[in-house]
Amino acid sequence: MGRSFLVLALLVAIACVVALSPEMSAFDNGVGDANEGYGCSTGCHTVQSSAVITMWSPTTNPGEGETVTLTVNVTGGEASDSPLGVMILSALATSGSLPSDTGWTILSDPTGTTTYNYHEIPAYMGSVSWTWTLQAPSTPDQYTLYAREIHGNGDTYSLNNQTGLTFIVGDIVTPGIISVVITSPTANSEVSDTITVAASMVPSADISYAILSIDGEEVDNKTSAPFLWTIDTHVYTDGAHVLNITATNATGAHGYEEITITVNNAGEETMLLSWVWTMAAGSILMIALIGTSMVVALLIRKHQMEKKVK
Amino acid sequence: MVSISGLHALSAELHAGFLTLAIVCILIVVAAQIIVRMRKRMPKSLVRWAIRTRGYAEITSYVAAVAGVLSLVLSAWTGMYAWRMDKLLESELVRNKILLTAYATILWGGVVFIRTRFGRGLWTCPAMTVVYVGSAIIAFGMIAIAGCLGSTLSRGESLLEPVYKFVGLDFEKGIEVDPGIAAAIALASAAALIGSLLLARVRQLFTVELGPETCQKVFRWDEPKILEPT
Repeated sequence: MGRSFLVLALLVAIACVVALSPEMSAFDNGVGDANEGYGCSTGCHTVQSSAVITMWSPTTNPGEGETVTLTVNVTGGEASDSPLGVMILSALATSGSLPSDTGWTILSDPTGTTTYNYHEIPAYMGSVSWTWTLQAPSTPDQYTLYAREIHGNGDTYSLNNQTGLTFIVGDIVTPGIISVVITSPTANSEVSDTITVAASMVPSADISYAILSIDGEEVDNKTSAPFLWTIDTHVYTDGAHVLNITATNATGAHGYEEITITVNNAGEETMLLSWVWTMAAGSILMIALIGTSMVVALLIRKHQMEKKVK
Repeated sequence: MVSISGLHALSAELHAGFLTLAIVCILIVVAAQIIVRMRKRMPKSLVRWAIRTRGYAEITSYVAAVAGVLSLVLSAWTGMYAWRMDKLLESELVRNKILLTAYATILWGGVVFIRTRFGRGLWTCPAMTVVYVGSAIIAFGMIAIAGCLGSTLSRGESLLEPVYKFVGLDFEKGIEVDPGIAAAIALASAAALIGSLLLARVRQLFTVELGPETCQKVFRWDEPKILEPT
């Protein structure tokens, strides 16, 4: 009798553990094809992957509403015989990142039958090349699409194609002018610690130099793509700063873009200080809660026993 | 070679499993104790089941809680290295997870301390049972939320999200208290702890033993022990 109850109790306990454990711990199985925004919708994937991700389209100057294809290649990285997904995005920001947010319509994804911006395979073997077919926005302008790959395999890896692929939709190219777009950080954003400044140029061929200046002072000069700079914001005082990128190409065409960003390292430090205090105070509170409750419980017992004796 | 993330996932599974087993067994003992206490109004077969089961569940909960606390510490240690150190404290979600895990570890430590100090005799004293079970439930709630934050980090979703929305909790925002208020809480807590320890010394509570022979005449609560085979 007792043994059967023991077995029953053990089975109930095992069932509870099995039922609850998956949601209480980390496991990576991918999420499947879907429309996924930038950020944590597919898992946060904060560790930078060593993969190489490139984007290519045969038509970077389509007419309004014209059909274009976009191919994303991923090679290398940490995933091996495990899930890997790629998404195409209109911004590397947590809001407005779906291609449809800037007027693009996905006509087909790499499956050929659905129209999602995120495609995933269960077993990545070191290289993929996936093509999306899209309809360009109906308004003439400059649009940049980005690609992001994510995978697990023991960690939460991801890699963004920071530069993206810029499409000039309609006839907006002006001779003698280079269209410079600062893709990261976004204008008027608040930044701290180390940031990556990224820019794309249209036309992107034969860029002679691209100068990054902050508050009018030249920081660096690049003569070839990718136009990425890593900046330690601790060098700058907290507050607004003007970030400028100027480019010139072999034909003498010029272009520049200027954005304002706000450096806030003090906020980050204050926040960390508050967190440390919250951790310390909460821990002391928990110890006090247990200790005081035990003493109160013993006092209640003593009081009731004394009452009983009387 | 096994990656540190793999070890973290393993230790997370371990602590989640052990602590779930511990809380389930504690709740089984609670149910069994209530059934036994109200035996006159309960079916005899249920009372027999409760008397036989509670002994096994009680010792299982103790062993599982000890193993759970050890694997929780291991999980916290591997978790520190599973993320890049410079990125560890950037995410508010991760900071909340660390905070809740630390609080839960202290509470589970308290649960293990109470059981170690008073033995299964604690179940004969209702007030101490309330402290023991209450601490275990709060600690399990915290570890469940911390686990679900881990799920949000790795998969972007978790089981408790509908609950957060219903209750109005937002773990995407950091749990932070102003340093001044935190210092006041720390001082008040420390004062309360020292005060209660002094009171315990004055009232000679440090030497108290809980058990049927010291409590049962007053509280009439049985001790959940494993019965000898008949």
